[in-house]
Amino acid sequence: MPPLIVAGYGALILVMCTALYSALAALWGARRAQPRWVRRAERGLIATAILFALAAAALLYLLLSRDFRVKYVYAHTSAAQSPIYVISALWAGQEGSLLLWALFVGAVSAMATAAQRERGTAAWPFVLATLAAVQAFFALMLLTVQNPFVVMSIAPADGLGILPTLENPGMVVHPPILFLGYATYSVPFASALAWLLVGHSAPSSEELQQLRRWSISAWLFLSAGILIGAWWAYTELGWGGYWSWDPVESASLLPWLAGTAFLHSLLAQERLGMFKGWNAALPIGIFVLCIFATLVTRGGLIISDLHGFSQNIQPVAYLLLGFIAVVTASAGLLLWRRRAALADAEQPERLLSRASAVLVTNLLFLGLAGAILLGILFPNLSQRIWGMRIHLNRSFYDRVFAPLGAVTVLLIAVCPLLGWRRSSWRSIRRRFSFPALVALATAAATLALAKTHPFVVLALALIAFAASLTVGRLIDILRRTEWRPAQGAKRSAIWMARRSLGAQLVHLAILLIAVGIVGSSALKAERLVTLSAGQRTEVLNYTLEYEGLQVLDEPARRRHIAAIAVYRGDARVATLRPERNFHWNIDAFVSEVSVRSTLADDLYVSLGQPGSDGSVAFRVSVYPLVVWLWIGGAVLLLGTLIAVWPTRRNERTAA
Amino acid sequence: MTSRQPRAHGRSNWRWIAGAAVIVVVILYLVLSSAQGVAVYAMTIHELKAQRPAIYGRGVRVGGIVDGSSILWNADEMTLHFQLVDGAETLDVSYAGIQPDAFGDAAEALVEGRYREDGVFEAGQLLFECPSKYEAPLATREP
Repeated sequence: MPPLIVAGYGALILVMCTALYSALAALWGARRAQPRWVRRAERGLIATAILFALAAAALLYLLLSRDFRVKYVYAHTSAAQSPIYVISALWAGQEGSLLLWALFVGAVSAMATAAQRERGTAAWPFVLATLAAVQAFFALMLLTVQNPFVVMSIAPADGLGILPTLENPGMVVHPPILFLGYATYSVPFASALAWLLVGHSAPSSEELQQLRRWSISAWLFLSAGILIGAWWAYTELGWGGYWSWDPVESASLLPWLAGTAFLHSLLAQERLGMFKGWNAALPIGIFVLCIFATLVTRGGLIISDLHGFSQNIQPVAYLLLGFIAVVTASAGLLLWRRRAALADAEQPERLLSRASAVLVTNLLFLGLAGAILLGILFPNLSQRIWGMRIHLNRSFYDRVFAPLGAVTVLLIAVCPLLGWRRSSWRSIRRRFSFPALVALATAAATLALAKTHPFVVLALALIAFAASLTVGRLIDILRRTEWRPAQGAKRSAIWMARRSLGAQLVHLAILLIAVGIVGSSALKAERLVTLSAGQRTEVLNYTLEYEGLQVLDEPARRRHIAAIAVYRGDARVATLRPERNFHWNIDAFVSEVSVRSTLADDLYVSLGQPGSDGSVAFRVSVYPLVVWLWIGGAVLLLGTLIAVWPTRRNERTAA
Repeated sequence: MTSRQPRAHGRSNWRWIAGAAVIVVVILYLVLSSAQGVAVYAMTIHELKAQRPAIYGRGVRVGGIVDGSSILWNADEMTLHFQLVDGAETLDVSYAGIQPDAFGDAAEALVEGRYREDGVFEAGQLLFECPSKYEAPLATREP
């Protein structure tokens, strides 16, 4: 048995032992009030992070050296593969991605441990114990049912390599960022669980700040991961969509929705001390949903069209289900026991207040998450109840999200104008006049430029209304922070402004994303055409001329590249080159779409099969406004970074 | 944070519950009102044929293997015709779109659409199983 494999697997065994030791040491330290046992537990968590890193490094080395004896290396690399995709093979397969997930949990736990060293509280040992338990669980999965270091009896000459569809920057970036998001949520989870165990129901402002910082960071990574995944689907997978409501995709949205609700709810607790119960339950729920998302992706319990059809329950599914069951039951029990301490002294009284709006947000986002969960589980449920597998198609999600999305836009528009406890309708109404004009102008423009359903016009007008209010608020914030004269006051104003600024940017980003979604789905145009060389076709206001097909022979594939001239009126604006390439290693075609992006729309061309007479089939699609989705995504990440950027100590004390 | 006398929770709790109820009712309404339109039944070719005529027009998803010899591309209508085979059963499928990458002889496919009364399955989507040796996703869904 080669030493590296022994080292890798051995590291995982050590993780298991160390994590269990840490958990027990922390609990013992808490029980006997002996800080040195807690210190030992902390050291243990630093050790597990290093050990996970060692295991991952071992696997990475095996991949890079193409040791095809190892089943994982055989399944995900080949001799001729480029190095970047060999590295990304670390998370291409189930076992490797779970190891990466675990590594990130180890890393954030170590960070949390290092950061908290000086701030010992009653709950701290339980935070350590929870983080250690989570890591032990991951080690258990990696040692038993998801072992990346399995060795085969014979060493094949070459590996299977990676699917051409996965040879894309998206594959390199999307899974790690997503796992980083999931892993980072383990810290709020541990904090919340620890506070429940200890009966700590009134966290200090400092503790809430820490919780907030971890939660926003996790949300940042999760948002980035989801956006990159959507972008990858759009550019690589060829059907012009960025979201197909496939269970694996939808499952990643669940922690995101709960995470968004949590961020708002946490803000309300910071300002008013409200929603203690929500904020105790949500971080636990979010992490459980992250584990659930892994279950959907890797468990074989839920059928995903994009990832295989037959229901093939993997052993890991039972472990993941077990984890979910134990955590949910324990948390439920603890929440019930602590319900008196978690009850709020104050409830949102007025409907027209930010407090009420936060409550509505919580309910709304959890409702959306519930609807998605129903969609994911429906085939399994329907099989149990009626004996038939029934899937819910796109329409289901569109129907739920469209109106509730509109409510979200309304909330974004109005919420920043509301006072925390109460507001006067009159003062709010006064702010509406300019945005209302903007909305009307948008409605008029939409009606003039596109023939579409009244709901679409209404949606865009609503978004314009909300955007106008949000931009107005942004300008207010920027104006307010510039003119503070006193040193201390200016610093604190900027600090407070950073958070509001970031938040308003994120709201604006959501509106931009909404524009992208509405435009690209409601206003899109698609045409299927067969063209011979020299023939033209028209879609919306574009004219396309098929110029010819070029055939190139490369070592890995035979390329067929079509040249399409794009005209707007008489002016030639672009040449698109969609491809349909035959890959020898998989004995199949792989298409590469060609896209021309402008702020107004995307022109998206797919090359189809050739006809008998030299003509070629094309699918031409125009997706209006879709680029705003990606712009919105970038603004979202920027806004979140601004909101979470660490403050200097003197700024904080001046606040 | 001001200290407040604990108020009578009755009124506020009522609001909270009412709000939650409203959202749940709205979602349920949205879901149930479109039940027929959103449900897609998964079945085999055999089950599909056995459930005629009730199954005509309903959203259905059927699996099988593509019979390469039956593939016909109608360039004028831009439709792909082929036969899906499952054991002894065959199904005529018609799909309006360009040929997906994974499409070909002996490809394992799922067709989603409606069974027409003339015996042809009108597919709105073609979904393909990834080649068994690769566990990675191969998404070739054509909307």
